[in-house]
Amino acid sequence: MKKASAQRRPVSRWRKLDRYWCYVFIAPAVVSYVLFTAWPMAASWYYSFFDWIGLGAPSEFVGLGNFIEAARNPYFWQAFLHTFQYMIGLVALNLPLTLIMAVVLNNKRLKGAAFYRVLYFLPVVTTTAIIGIVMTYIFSPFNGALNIALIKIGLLDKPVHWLGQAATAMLTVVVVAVWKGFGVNMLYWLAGLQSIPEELYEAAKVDGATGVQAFWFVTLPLLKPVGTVITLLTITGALQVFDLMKVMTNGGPFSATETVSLFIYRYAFGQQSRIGFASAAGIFFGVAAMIVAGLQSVLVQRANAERVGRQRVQPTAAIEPVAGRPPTGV
Amino acid sequence: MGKAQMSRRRFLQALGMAGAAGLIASCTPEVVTEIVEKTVEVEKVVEKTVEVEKEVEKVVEVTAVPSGPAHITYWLPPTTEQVYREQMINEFMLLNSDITVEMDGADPANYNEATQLLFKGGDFPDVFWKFNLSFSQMLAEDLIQPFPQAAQDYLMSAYPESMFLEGINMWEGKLYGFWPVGPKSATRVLYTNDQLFAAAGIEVPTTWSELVDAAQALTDAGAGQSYGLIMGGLSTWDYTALVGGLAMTAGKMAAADGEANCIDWTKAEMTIASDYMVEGLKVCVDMMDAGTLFPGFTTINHTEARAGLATNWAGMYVGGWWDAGAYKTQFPDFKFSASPLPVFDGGKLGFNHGAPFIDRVYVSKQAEDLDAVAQFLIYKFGPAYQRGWARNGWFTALPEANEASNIADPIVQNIFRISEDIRAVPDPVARNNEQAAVSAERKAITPNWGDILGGVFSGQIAPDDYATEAQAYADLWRAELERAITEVAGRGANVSLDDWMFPNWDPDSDYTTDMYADLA
Repeated sequence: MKKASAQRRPVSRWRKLDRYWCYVFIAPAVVSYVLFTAWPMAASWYYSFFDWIGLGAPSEFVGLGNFIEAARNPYFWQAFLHTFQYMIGLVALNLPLTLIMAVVLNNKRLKGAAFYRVLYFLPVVTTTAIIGIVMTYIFSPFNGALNIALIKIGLLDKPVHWLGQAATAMLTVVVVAVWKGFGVNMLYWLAGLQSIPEELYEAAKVDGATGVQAFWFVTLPLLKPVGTVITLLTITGALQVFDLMKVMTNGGPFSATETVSLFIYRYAFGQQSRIGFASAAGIFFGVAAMIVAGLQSVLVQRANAERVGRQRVQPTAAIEPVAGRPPTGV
Repeated sequence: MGKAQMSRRRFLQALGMAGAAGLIASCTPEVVTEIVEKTVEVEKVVEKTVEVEKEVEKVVEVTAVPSGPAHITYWLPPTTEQVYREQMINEFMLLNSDITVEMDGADPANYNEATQLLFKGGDFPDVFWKFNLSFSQMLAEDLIQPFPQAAQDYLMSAYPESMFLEGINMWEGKLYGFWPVGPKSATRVLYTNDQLFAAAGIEVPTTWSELVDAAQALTDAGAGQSYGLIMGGLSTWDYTALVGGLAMTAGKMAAADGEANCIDWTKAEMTIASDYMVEGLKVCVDMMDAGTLFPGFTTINHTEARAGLATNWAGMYVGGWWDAGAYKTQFPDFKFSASPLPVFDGGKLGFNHGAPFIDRVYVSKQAEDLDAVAQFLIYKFGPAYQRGWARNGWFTALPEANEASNIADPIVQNIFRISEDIRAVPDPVARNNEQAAVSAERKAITPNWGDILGGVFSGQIAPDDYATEAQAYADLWRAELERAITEVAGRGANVSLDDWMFPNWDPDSDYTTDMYADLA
């Protein structure tokens, strides 16, 4: 009996340790979150109530003064508008194009699909600042490659200052951003496409569905949950645009492309440091981003619920049977 | 467990003690005579450089010798003088083998942010360039300390009295910041590309209409590969330098050095919406409409625009006094000329106005090796450094650096002549030191004058609307000034708007130190 009890002791010690190992592995992520996300957020809230230059302890309490000043600043709301313009442009261009490319690359008969995936993913892994600098030369009205090409093929008769005019600057940055982030969303769509059971396409084919019909009635509905997540991830990322805009236009010309992040940066680190005011502007923006995140949560839940419901219904029921042939399935 | 062994702990302890002993031994103060011998050796090595030899003697006589190896961190943005600066600091370390100067910094575009984060993180440099805090703010935050006494004594004996102003770079009689340039920092120069001018067959313009004609001729000759005038729109001071620089010859109260000097100092009102300013802008807009401005200028910065002149993108560039030195060091084969800005067609009616630029380099509160810092500052602002500085075309108020024998380059001579057009303006802080608190309280208004000009050049503000926009900004500037004065006065400071009004100011003359006393 003594021997048995002696053998049992080491086991119970290990079991006790087992309980705590999970906390050990979670700890770095928690610490990182607290240090780099939670603490800065809390600090921003605190600093936003002070007129503070960023050094020393905040001493001049102004209450809601910074928030009121931000709300009254027409350039702040202009920056808000620019941010949403950028976001809408990016989503409207990026999502359909990446979906189309994913559908193309999902074709099993396409040779070299892996090569194309790498090609489209290369901009994603290239430093944004480098891309921005190179693009300023490509879009330059002085010997810029784009202007030279468009003039040579006859689409332009004189160079356009893509980044120097308010009418074209934002669209130009959006186009670059679409290209930069193309690979990521394309891979997301691809993963979603590859999760659709092949049998559904076979069943649709048997029912006489064309490629377009299969895409419309099989692919798109089943991609809705993935698409919702991709859309809202893209929206959230677009709202935080900073590096590309800073390098390509620095918010110009004359604030025509100044987004909220650039506005905040200018007040935090510009000619006059106003960390308190910048924090208040940042909180305004953060609340807007939280609303978007909340919307994401609701829409994802709804999309998931729809997907679960759809899986109980035969997809071929949505397709009109070919004349003279009975519908298959149920 | 047989024979006795040293445990790991004991071994580490022994190692640590040995290391500490070695460290202490290495910190033994050096004997003065040994350093004198080293100095003599160095003199032999650099015997060709007469100025350096003289400087070495002066250093030995005046300053205390550090008692051990010293390390100074010098934090600044790598500006146009970087090549010269590195060369001279290497020579300083050669002369002072027990002092290491580590230069570091951030790109000018990110300097404010990087320096704030540096200080916030507790990593204080010993000597640093001013960032986006004012002198009074740095004092209030206890970030700086007075220059070491030896450095103060030398600077105040070597430089003119006008380089030391209470409230600007001095506080309670002690020198906290220094920059040798002085009021001449407002100098703006028309740089021209000799090769392109020769190809176009034209002379350097001296009037507004000649400027417009020259821009057209250069553009025609350039055939799409070079243009008349280039500016760096991302650095809005290129706009204010050009527009203000043209306007200052057509009116009494304009300047090429930004909105802070475009003020009617008798009324404390900005003059950026004046008729002569509108006329100066019109010249620029006419050139833009004619297509003689470098396309894409709104999306390049000052450095790129400057390089654009040297790489034949354009034939003319309005730059600062410092750009000549940049061309000499970065583009040594570039043939260029330096001329005054073109004058109003009706004749020169006004002068350039500038405030003394005398506070850029500071000593942080955490700097410890003050003897080494003193030696460094004395060398940096001393004759050896400043003579070479002046030869490269950079201004210095050190008299011995400005001797004719030192300035042989005709371009540099030209720039020095152009600088004689500057008239020093009054400074409210120099009149009433408590106004420093008002300067700290005032909030920057955006868009500022440079941004408004950018709006005109980018087509978002119609040229006809410029005067309205500029006046609106001038009114906001005045309102903010009055608010800041009221706020600071409410805290008990003895300040008023009268500190900003100088009835004895003559825009055609320098405002000198004794004139402040006349208003007391």
